[in-house]
Amino acid sequence: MASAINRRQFIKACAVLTLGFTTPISFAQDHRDPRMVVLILRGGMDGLAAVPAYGDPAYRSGRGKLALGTPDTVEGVIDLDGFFGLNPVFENLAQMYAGREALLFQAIAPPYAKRSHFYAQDVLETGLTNPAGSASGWLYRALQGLSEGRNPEKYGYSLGAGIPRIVQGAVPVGAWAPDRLPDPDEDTLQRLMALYEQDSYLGPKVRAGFNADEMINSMGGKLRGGNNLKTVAKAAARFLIRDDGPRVAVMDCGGWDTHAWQGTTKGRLANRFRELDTVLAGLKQDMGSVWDQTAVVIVTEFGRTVAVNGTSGTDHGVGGAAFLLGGAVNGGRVQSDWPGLAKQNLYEGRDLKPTLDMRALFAGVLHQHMGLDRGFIEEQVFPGYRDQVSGLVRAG
Amino acid sequence: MTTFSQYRAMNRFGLGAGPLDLNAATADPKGWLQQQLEVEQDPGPQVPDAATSLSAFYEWRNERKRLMGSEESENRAQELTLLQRGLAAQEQSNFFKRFEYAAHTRTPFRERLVQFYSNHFSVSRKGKRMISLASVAYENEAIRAHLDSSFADMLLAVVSHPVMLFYLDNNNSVGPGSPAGKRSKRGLNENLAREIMELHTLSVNGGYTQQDVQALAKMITGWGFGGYNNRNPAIKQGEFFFYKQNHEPGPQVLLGRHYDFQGLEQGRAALIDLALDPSTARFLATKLATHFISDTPPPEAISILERSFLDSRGHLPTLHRTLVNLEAAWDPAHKKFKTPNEYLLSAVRVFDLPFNGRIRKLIRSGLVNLNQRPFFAGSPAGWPDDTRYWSSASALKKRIEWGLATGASANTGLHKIEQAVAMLPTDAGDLQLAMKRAASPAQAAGLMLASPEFQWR
Repeated sequence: MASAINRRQFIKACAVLTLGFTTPISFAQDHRDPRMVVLILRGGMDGLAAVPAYGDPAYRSGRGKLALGTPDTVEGVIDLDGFFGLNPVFENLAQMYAGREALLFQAIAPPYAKRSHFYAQDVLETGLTNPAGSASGWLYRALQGLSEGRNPEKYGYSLGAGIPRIVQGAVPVGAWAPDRLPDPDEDTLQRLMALYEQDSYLGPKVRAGFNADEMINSMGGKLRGGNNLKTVAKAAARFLIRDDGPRVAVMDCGGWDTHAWQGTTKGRLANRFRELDTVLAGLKQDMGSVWDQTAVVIVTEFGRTVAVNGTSGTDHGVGGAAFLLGGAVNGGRVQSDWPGLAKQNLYEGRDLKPTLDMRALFAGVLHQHMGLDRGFIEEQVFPGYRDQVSGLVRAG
Repeated sequence: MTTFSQYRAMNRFGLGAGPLDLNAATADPKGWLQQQLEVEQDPGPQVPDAATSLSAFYEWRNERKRLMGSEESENRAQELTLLQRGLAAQEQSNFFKRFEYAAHTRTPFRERLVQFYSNHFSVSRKGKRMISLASVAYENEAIRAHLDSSFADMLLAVVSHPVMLFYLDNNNSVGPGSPAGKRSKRGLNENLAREIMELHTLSVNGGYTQQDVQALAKMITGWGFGGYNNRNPAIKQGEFFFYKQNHEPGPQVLLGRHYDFQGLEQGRAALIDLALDPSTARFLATKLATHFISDTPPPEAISILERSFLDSRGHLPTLHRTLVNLEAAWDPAHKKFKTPNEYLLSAVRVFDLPFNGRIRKLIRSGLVNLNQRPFFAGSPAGWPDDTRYWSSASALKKRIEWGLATGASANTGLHKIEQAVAMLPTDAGDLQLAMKRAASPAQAAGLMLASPEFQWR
C-alpha cells in the first residue's frame, strides 16, 4: 500500500519539475532514440598526457621528461591534426578518431580553478559554481526533462558501486553493480519484501535493485564480476541496447591522481589509458547497431600541472582534456581554443589555462544529441548558464 | 526488549547491539559510553608494527625482483604465484585481526571513534600496495594511541607516520632551495600539504590559498622515513626520519602567520596551529555530528561540538564526552545508515558469531562485494559517511543477498535468535514477528540481517 503512494508521489514530483515545459524533448516525434553515457575519471586525468599538444613550441620544454615524441618517432604520439596528438597507447580511440567518431577537447574544465579533487568533482557533478548545499546533480535534473512520462529510475542508470553525485536527487535513479553473492531463495525473499514494504525510503530501492538484476541477467546470462570498469561498461551496454531499457548511463573510475612516477607510454598512467581504451572498444562492440545513436562523454575534474613535479609525476592543475565518442558524434577533430603552453600563458604560471567551460559540452550533448529543450537546460540543468558547444553531433 | 536509549547506545555509539554489550550497556547507557573514553589499555589488534611491516614489504619486493630477473620457467611462475599469495595472506590476516578486535571489543564506542579518525585521516592501499601490510599498524600507532590526547597530537602522529608520508608522497618531496634540491632535479610534491589543509584540518572552504599549500609543503619537506635504499645506520628502515638536506631552508608564511623556526620544528609549529584553527574546529565538529547524529545534523549540535573543541583546545576525550551528552544524538527522529563495514560488524556482534573459517570467508566476501575493503577508499577523503552513497538499489540488493547467506550459514541456533529478538527495540514489532514465524533459525537469522531495521543505526 505504502509503495503505491510513493510511486504516485514521485511521478507527481517529476511532473512539477517539468511544469512550464510542455515538450522538453524537441524531437520526440522523429525516429531517433539517442543514448548517452557519462564516464567520470576521478583523480584528475592528465590531459596533456592523453592528448599532447606536441605542436606547441613550449610543449617539449614545459613537459620535460614527460614529453612524448613527435609522430615520426618510436613511441611518438599518434598525430591528430598536425598540432595535437594522441598518446599511442590509445589504439582503439585512434581508430574511432579516424572513423570520425571521436571528438576530443583540450583546455576544458568545470567552472572551478582551485585544484581540490573533491570540490572540483562537486562542481563538475552539480553543474553549479557553488555546489555547497545542492541536493541534486545536473544529470539528475536533465533526467527530469528527458524522462518525461517515464520514471527517472527507468530512464537513467548508475552502473558500479556507489551513486555518483551527478545523478543524485530526490528520487533514486536506477542502479546496478556487479557482485559475486548467492541469489536468495524465493520464500525468504518474499518474507523479507513484506518488511521492506514498510520502509518508505529503502523499500522502493530494494525493488528497483532486484528488477535491474532481472533485466540484466535476462540478456546473455548472469553478469558477474568485480566492480571494475570493464564489467560495469558491459552492463551499461546491456541496459542501453534494450528497447525498454534506460537511455542514460553513468559510471566512474578512479586511479588518475598521478603525483609520482606516472610514466609516458609505459607505466602507471599508460596502464590506465590502455584499460580505458580497451573498455571503450568493448563498449562500442557491445552497443552494436545502437552505437550509431550513442554519445559517450568522458570527463575528469581537472588537468594536471604542465611541468613535472619533484617525483616524476604531476600535481593538481586546472585545464584538462575531455572525450566525446560514439556513432552519433561529429568527430575526427580536436576542439580547443588553445591558450598555449608558454609560461606567460599558463594559469598562475603552472597550469593549462581552461578556455572552455565543461558545462558547454554537457549542455551541447543534452540539447543536440538528447534533444532536451534549451530553455529547460538553461533554467533547470545549469541555471543561468547559456552557452553550448555547437556541432557536436552528425547532421541527419 | 531494550529501551530506545539502550538500543541507541549500543548501535549508534557502539558497533551494534549484541550479547557482549547487553549487561554493561543496559544498566546506564550514557555512563557505559563515558567509561570507554579514557581507558588504561587499548592495544588494538596485535599486528607487527609499521616499521617491521614496511621492511617485510621491501623484502617481499626484493624477492619478487630476484625472481622476475631469473630465467623464465614453469617453476618461476609457480614461485611468483606463491609469493603473491603469501603477501595477500599476510594482508588478509591483519585485516581479519582488525575486524575481530572490533567485533569482540567491550569498548565499542571507543572502537567506533578509532575507525572514525582512521577514516578522517584515511590511507588507502589502492594503487599503493607498499602500505598494505602496515595499514592496521598505522591505525594503531597514529590514531588509536592518540585517542586520549589532543587532535593536534593525533595530527602530528599522522603526518609523521611513514604510512601517511608514503601514501601522500611526502617522502619524495624535496625543497627546491634545500641542499638536495639544488644538487638534483628532485623537487616539491604538494600532495600531503594540500590534503592536510583540505581534508584533515581546515576543510576546502577553510580560507587557504595555493601559496599556503606551497608554504606548508615546504615546511614539511624532509619529513620522511628510512626507505628501501637506506644505507645510513642512523636511520631505521620504516621509521620516521627528518632528512635535513631535503628541507627547504628559510622562514615561511602560512595563513598570514610567520614561521621562522628551523628544521623539523617549523612544520610541527604549523601543524599545531592548523589543528587549533577555528576552521578545523568547525570541520571536525561537523564531521562528528554527521557521523553520530544524521547526514544533516542540526546546526546547534555542530556549534556545541565546535565550542567544546575550541574551549578544550582540541582535547579529544572532552570533545567525545560532549558528543555523548548531545541531545540530538539520542533523538529518535535521527538515524544513520550503516556503512558496509559497520553493517558486517553489527551482524557478527548481534549473534556473537564465532570467528571461524566460514565466517571469515563471509566477512571477506561481504567487504569486497559491498565495496568497502579495509584501507581501500578511492581517495584521501576516505569513505563517504552518508546514506545516499551506501544505499543505492544495487547496494541494497547485495546487502540482502549477503545477509540472507550469512544468516543461513551462521548456524546460530534458537537461543541466539531469541536473544537477538529480545534485543530489538519496541518499535521493531514487524521484524520480531517475522523472525518468530520464520521456518527455521537460519531463516530467522537471515531475515534479521537482511531486514530494513538492521540497516540503520
